[in-house]
Amino acid sequence: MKQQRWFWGIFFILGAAILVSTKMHWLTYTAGTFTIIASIVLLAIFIKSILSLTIPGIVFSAAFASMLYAQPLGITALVPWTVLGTALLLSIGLSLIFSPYSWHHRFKSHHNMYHHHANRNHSQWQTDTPQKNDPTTVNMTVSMSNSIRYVQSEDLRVLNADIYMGGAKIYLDKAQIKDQATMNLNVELGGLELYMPRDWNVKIQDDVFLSGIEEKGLANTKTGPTVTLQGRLRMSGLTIIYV
Amino acid sequence: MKVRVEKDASLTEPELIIRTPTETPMIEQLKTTLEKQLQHQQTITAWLKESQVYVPVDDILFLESADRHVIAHTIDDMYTTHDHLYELEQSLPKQFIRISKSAIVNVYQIRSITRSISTYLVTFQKTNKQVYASRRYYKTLKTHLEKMR
Repeated sequence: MKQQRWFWGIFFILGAAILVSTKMHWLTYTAGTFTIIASIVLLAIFIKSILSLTIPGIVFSAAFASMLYAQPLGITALVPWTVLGTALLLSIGLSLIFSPYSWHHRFKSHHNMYHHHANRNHSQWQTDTPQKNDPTTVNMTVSMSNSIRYVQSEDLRVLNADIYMGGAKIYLDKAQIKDQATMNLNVELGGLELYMPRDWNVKIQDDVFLSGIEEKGLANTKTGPTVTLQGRLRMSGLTIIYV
Repeated sequence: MKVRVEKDASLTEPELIIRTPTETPMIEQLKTTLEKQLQHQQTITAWLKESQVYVPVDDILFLESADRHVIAHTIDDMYTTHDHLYELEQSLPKQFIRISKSAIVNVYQIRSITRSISTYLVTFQKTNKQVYASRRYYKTLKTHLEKMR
């Protein structure tokens, strides 16, 4: 989180510097204010996407950048639909080819980041082959579909949900937490609904980008075990319903 | 109306036959009442933690296979059965309809069906439990719902 703030902070300060310097004609290249701001934002998205290996982010930010600079690049004939179409096809194609790696990478990095120190018992996570019938862990992967999962673990410790362009509902009202639990929620362009017992002490620490978190249902009493929600929400919705 | 009992050694289980010259509303009503009465007695054997429970089939909202078990959902609980879904599909009364590869639903308990792009979301009375029906099985579900109501 801290690292991210640094990244964005430096980025926006640099952006301000560039904006002023171009307007004051300190730099040789001159362009409209909108173009400069848009390029700064696009560059930021591009770098972030490369770092997190999000293929659509890389392709689309490049596509929009090429649209902004269509005239100097001499591709005015291709703007905008041809470029967008190409970007869509490219991102689908590249995602299909590289997504196994990307998922794998994300999975692994998460566990190294959050879990290793938090839960010493879970050394199996490092090997990337979670035990299938481990009742303390629930894994759910939804991609371009809808799914409902009813969890009835008696000692829930970890819940991993990876949702990409889909909808998922997880019912935890019959699940029990002995001490505390961690939920790693990675939702991209999707929706996740969690039905939780009203006494769970839910702590939301998700990294949120263009997403919404809503809590509804009965009043959360926060008297029960602690549940930490972490992970990434990208253009998605997370709804927690207390029952 | 005459009521009599006939014994037939060739039958494996009792069979009720209503003989009538024309099908009147009363006959139809009698038939549904009898059917309901008979269904009331049917239970399935399932597990709730360590205890074996006989769950009345009327209480079941839907059955779903998850993690190599079949879970019978009632309004408040989830019971684990040791039967396969296809076996249950054959043994359960005909109000239980298959709605996807992994689920069978009790049509009497359905409250609503909402269509989305590729699936149908089924909700139930007095609970926030939900289950998805796949497009492939939706037609049979719809015909059954129309017949039952």
